[in-house]
Amino acid sequence: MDPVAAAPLSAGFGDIVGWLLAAVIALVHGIVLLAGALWWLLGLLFWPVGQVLGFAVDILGAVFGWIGTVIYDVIADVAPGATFYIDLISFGKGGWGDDLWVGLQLTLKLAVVSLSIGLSIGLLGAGAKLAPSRALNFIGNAYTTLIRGLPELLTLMLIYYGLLFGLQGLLSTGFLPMVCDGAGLADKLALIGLGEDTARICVSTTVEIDGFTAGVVALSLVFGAFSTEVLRGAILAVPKGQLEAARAIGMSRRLTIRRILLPQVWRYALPGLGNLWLIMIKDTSLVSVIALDELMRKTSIAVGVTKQPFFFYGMACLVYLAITGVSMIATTRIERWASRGVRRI
Amino acid sequence: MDPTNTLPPDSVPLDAVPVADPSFFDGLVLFLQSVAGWIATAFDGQVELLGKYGWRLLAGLGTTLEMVGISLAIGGLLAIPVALARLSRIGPIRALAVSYIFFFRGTPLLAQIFLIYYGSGQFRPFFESAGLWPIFREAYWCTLIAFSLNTAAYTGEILRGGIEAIPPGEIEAARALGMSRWLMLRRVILPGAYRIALPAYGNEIILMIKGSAIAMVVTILDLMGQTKLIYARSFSFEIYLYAAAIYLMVTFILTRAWARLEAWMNPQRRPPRAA
Repeated sequence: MDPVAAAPLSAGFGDIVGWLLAAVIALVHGIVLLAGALWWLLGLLFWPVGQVLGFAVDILGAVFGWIGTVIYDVIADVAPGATFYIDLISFGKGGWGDDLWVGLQLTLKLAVVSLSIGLSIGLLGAGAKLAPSRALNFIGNAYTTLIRGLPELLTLMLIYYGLLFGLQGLLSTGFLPMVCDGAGLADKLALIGLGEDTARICVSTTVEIDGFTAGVVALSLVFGAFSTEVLRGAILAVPKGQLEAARAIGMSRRLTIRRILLPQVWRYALPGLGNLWLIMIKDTSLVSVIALDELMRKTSIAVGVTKQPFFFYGMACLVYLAITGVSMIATTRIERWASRGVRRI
Repeated sequence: MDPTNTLPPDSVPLDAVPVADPSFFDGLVLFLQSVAGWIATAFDGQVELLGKYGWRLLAGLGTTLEMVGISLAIGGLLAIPVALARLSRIGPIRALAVSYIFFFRGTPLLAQIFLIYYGSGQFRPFFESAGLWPIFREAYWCTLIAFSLNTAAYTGEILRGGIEAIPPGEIEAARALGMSRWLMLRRVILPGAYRIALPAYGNEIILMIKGSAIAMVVTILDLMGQTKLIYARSFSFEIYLYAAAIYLMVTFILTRAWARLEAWMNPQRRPPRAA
């Protein structure tokens, strides 16, 4: 039977719910499509850059590889005992360097993705907290108070288990099929051309939340809450007289925000945001608790196999130190660049 | 058009947009009834859950507060030499303090705990011969050491900021009075620095309480550890929400208490009393 032909269109409670659900699902599809397109476009734009960089990395790798073997041979002559440890972090067979490298990449990916999402949340949050609407103020305050008062690990657990078992619980109680039936979701999805989703949403019995998603959601929420405060402070730090002056010479609200407010907010917020970035780099290690193979967990795996805990955890610490050190240098550079027009006393 | 009519398969007719009819309210009432029933059952379940495991949460809170309290005390004491060394005019001492602070502020607390707890196992013969193995064998002590060293680094930086913010005139005045370095430190510099550093130190305490949650990873039954244990036994996700509520309460009380303390320590900021 054609499911579309059988669509019941009585305007009951179930139908309203059904249409709402269908709209949400369509929206999610839209967002995913848009993100995919953006990603593809970015890939296209940066393809030449990637090629050049890849080439450079290959050459550098060869050069450093050669220097490395020379140094390795010297060390093997001078202190034969030390080669044991160098072998442990080598990229070849029996070495854990490549595993740690993969973990490091995941750590950085986690941090960068969470940074961009978290910053957007922070801008929205600061806007909500400074908006003339009481409801928005309340939402902003509740969000920051809640997230800033919770341990990051607990936020992560709440997100991970909350998503996982929330969805699984819904599935196991037969709640979702019931809703799907009651709301006639299958027909509505078929009507708007998303018929394939029916099986995934209404019939499936297992969900999988991967650690990366949970980690990104949790870290973005944490970063968003703290950056809300930083950005709010930065917005308030812009002298009021400047905004009044902008209004006096007839700038529109939008133009004032774009030309006067944001360029300075960026400058005032940078030190605080830099600190939050360092905190987030360190917080990514918490995601190892929910079995995401980032740097910390890769290190633990290496320790489990090699029984060299001090060496490997020390190495992991050095890697984190390198990231934070580079980040600190970068943020001071950016800060100096951002405040290049400011008179220094 | 009759709303129960069938549709042409190729298009969405405009009147497919739902309009409220009596069945809407029937559906709503049914829905609300089922929600109310669900809440009632859930409430009974929660009472049972808390009756069975509530004491574990409280015991966990006790462990958390105990660990944070001890490490804050040790870290606070260590912070004074760290801050002074950081400000020292002797290069190697300053370099030592800088690298100590850089290490403990630049690496995750989790890595520090792992380094001390698991890492010490690699030097077991050494610790055994030094008689320290009973300490480094226990996750509790290792975590406490990691927490103390970590908070000492952060507090040291906070204290340094406080010391640097002391008006130079006060130090000159103390010198002019002929105070010795030690007396000046005890009477002028540290009291002033503590007062300036107070708000930042309040933040550090809250960060420490929140950070202590990762003690769970090395099997310590603090609030987070107990929560995970209860969850493993009962499979009730709600226990995480209760833990969240407890953490929120603790940080809330602490923020309030800290505001009081700041007001008490800074009498000059109080509004003048009416005569």
